[in-house]
Amino acid sequence: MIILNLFRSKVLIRTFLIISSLIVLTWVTMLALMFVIAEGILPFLRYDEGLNPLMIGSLRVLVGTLILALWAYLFHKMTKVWLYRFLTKRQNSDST
Amino acid sequence: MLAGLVLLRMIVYMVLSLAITLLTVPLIARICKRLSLVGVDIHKPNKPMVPKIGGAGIVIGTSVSLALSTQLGGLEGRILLAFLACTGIAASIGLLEDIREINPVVKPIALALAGVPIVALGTYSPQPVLPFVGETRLTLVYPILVLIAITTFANAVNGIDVLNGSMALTSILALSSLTIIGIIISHYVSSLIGLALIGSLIGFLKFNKYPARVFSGNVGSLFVGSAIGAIAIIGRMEVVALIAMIPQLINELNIILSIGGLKSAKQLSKRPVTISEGIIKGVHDKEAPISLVRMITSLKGMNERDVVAVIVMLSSIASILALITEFLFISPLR
Repeated sequence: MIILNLFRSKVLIRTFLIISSLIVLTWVTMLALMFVIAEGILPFLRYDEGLNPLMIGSLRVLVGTLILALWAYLFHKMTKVWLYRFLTKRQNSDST
Repeated sequence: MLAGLVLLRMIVYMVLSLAITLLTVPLIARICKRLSLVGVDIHKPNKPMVPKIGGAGIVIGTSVSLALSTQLGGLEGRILLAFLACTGIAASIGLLEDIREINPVVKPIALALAGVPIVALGTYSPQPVLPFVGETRLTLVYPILVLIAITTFANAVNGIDVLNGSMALTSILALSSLTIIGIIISHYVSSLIGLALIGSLIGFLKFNKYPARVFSGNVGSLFVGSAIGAIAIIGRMEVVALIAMIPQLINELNIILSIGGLKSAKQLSKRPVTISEGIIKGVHDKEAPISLVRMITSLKGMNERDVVAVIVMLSSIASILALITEFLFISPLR
């Protein structure tokens, strides 16, 4: 019943589509960063013989943490763009 | 045949937790009124006073149902103990916050402690599976991540509990995807806990849906959030849980980053939305906190039910993405 409410109004549908695109993009960004970790970074940080496993492990965790922080930063920046460009701007044009 | 029996058993515990919650919430509401533990429903034009710790019914419903399942051999005692201790600590912090304010910096640290029982009882596997990467080995770091995960999930669910039914509905959706994945990857323990929690949330929703007759309170939302975190850790569904909770995380993370740290609502000079005659409208002030409700109501003012409808649909999208992630990117690497 609560979902059917959504289809009553164009503004509701438009809002839903704009924010869901942000959610999907956040998801895609996360997968892309995981791919970069798997293919571009971890092959260079392997537990090879002769290397200190603790140092390699720490480096892997550090890189992972930095990438997660980058994702959170991107996530916040994208939200700001969505809010001020797509959600607020339309309101201004609606009111004019 | 065996899987069918296990599933039937899970449904019995779900129905049990639903029944217990249906019975306990009205009793708790009565006690709240007697003790003046009520809050104002600011989104309604007549601003009614509503009992505010109805979420204790979710705590009782889920915990009793899971305790019974352990007695009958459904759940390993060690896992039950870790789960109940973790969520019990989070619920106690919530109850304390419902009675008196907690410092906004102390609260997340205290909530991180709720993860200690999971670490101490060893009910985790420090090898989370990441998309494309596969199984990782985080032996030393993982216990710290457990503490961070519990406080993050608990605060994220707490932050979405601002409208009638929003916390229960979004949590049911996130838990549904985790429960489905648990069944498919044969991690029945996490599905059993998930279904018991879903049962309680459905029972609670009867009283919390618009117009709410009880609020969940911090006791309920912190319990549910820490429970989702615990299920993700115990069931090795960390990444999937993160994706299923994207709407709640967007909300919480953006609030923290936009106000420049951990602050209580009273410390904020600007509000994210205005409320007039039951219509919620996002403010157009770049200094105001960025919340999910502000984003939803920025285009046009909406009533509470419509905002909840959008939040529920966003949560559904996140839950579907979580399922896609599991089946396309994680299951092949398990």
